[in-house]
Amino acid sequence: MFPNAVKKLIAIILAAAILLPGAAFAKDELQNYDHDKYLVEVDVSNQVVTVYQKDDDGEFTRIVRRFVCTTGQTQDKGIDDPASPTPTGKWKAGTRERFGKFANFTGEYARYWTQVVGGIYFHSIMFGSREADDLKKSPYNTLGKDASHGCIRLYIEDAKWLYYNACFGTTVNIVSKGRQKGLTASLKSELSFKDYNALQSNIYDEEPMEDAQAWIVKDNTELRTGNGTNDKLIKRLEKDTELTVLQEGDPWAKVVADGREGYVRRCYITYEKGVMQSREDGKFVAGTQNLYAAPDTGSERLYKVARHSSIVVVDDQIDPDGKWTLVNYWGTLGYLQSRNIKTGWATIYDEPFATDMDKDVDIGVDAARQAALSHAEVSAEDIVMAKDGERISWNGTDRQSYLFEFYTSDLTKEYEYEIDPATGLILGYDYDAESVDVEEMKAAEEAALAAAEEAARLAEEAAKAAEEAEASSEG
Amino acid sequence: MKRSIAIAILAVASLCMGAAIGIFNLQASPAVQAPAEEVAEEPPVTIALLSSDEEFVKAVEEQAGDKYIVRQVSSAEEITPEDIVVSYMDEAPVPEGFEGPQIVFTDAPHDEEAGKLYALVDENAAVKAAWDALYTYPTHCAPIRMLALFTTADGMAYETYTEMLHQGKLWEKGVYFVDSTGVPSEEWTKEALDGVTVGLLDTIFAETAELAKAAYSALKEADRNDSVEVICPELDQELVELMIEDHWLMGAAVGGAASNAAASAIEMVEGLLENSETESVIIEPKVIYSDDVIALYKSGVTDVTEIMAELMK
Repeated sequence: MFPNAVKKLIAIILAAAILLPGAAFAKDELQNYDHDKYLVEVDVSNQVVTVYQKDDDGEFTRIVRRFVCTTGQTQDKGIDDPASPTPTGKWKAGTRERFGKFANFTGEYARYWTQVVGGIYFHSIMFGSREADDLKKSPYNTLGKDASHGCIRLYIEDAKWLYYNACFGTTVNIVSKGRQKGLTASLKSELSFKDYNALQSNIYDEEPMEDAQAWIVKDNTELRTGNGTNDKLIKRLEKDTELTVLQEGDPWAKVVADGREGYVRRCYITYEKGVMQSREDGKFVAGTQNLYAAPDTGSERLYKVARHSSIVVVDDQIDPDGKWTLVNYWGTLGYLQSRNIKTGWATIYDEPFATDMDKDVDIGVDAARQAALSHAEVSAEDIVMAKDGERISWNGTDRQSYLFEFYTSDLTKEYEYEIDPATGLILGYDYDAESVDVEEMKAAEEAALAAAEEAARLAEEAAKAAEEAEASSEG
Repeated sequence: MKRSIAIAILAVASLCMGAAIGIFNLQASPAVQAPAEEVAEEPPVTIALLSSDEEFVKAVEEQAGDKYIVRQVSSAEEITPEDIVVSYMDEAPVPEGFEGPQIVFTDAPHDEEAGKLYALVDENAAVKAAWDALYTYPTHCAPIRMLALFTTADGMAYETYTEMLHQGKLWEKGVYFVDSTGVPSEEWTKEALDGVTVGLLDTIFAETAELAKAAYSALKEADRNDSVEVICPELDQELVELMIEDHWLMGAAVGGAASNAAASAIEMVEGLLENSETESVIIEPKVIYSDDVIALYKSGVTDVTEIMAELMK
């Protein structure tokens, strides 16, 4: 708990951290810039969304808001109406729009869009036009059932809450928790459609901010009906075409170009004419990938990273085989499999999102050692430690890391780890299964034994001296 | 009273006060005209306090310390020509012909009068501050789903509530009135909480400290894990203790107007004695948030009085 002044300061710092990568997300009218403040859980089996905040122990247990929803249809209902389930997994909330038109559904609109991933959004139940009193009745009545094309439909007030508070980078966890009797019904509005429509059209809001302007930086940029390369091509845009940006997302931005609404790749536009905010040799993920907590597919899956997302590479030389890359994904540090990271057009993040690595904290040598041993899948009893948490410069930078070198007791493997003191993340590791230097290992053992004997001798001497001093003072 | 009208009144009143200071230059009693250094050699100045507000009287006495004699008076006859008169709100008028200095705390527009300094007190300021806190802390950006407990439907608190309701800022989940609902407030709140699914409620507005304590008890007993906070336009020590006990439930309370008014009264007395130009004042209450209370408490300030004093600064 912080005093309000400190909270405001933190909010400003976080806002600055998020807004720094160019003007890409400056349009957002958020009331919260701390992407770690809320956890949004979507339970597709009950059609319920629950927003948690942290309790006094830092765990997401306190319910801020809970509401009924309509998620993607889970059953095929004929050849023209296939299943379109909402993709489960842990995502980071992305771009947003106040009152948007479905680019690929004719004549439908919704209020307060907040992106989950790709074309999957939280948004209000649908409207027939961009008029607040033109709410459609059928989506109101179907709330609580799986009926959408994958998006998560909500009451207007709930969509609005998410729009303002589930800021860019907020965790959205889509799960199936099993049916809980009565829950969905208890969250449904008891108002008739007429009464609800009257109420919702009166919900207060500030005037919307002006949409950002941008320009195309690459000839033949495709304007599509959705945010995917499979969506229908509307037209090709020439370099320097001016755009109005409706959703400032990455990898796709929703824009109006030449009077048509559609989607273009974020890396093909700039918010400052003549200035490149993307590059041809940037890094992005080829397909939707898991972000792991450690360089190990068995480790915790932190998030799913959407296809074509631009990536900030922190270190691509962390392991001997080059299989893993440490990345900063919208403020979360984690590991991607290197083979899934491609070079090509991607957004430049000159000022990457602040991460826990930037915090002035130290987890301590014990926790750092445990991180290394866990990854090596050995226990402290099974190894001989040669270097135990020596502080060294990481990659020749000012940043320090803990260095650990150890051998297995059976002399079959030798390990070396560099651990980040702030996060416990593995910054580099190596192992050798054949060339264990027995002499070096024995020397380390002998040195450790000699040090222990010397410590015991000194302790004995100190005790003896104390006894003598006590005896002389009594005498 | 509509907010815009209230602001206009305050603005006009401030101008009047400024004019009073400038025009009348406060021809005061001999004690008042003496320089501050010489006052110390004379008998202590007496403040005649025309106020039945015990909180204000106590606050003035505390802030006067040994420097001034504070004498609470209830009628004009008790005022002597040597006194500095401080009248607080709707108290008995100062006797005609009294030529000594007066400091008048009022919530109403007033005419300029020789020898008077005015301090503007908006009696509804605490209620306004509480509603403001409810709407902005934290920022909901969606209609606030709430239970509301009022003493009566005739007050400013309910008037503001209905106004915000019509503006689409609030979502009514239940309303209670002390003078008409017919059951004790805690019992009513318990039943109301039973009727609202966890996650569908943001706040409970309680017009008085007593109602806030009842709402807190009901919430505590309900043992919900949703973030429902009680917001109250009154403040007392017990409410701060509840914030320490469970900062999730007792969210914010508004107080300190009497304390601020007392501090202003003493400052104005000193200004008069030093014959310096005394600036106009508007008495504002202070919103005390449980987050700030708990932060102070965790930092080692465990005495409630000290916490309140610190947060009132």
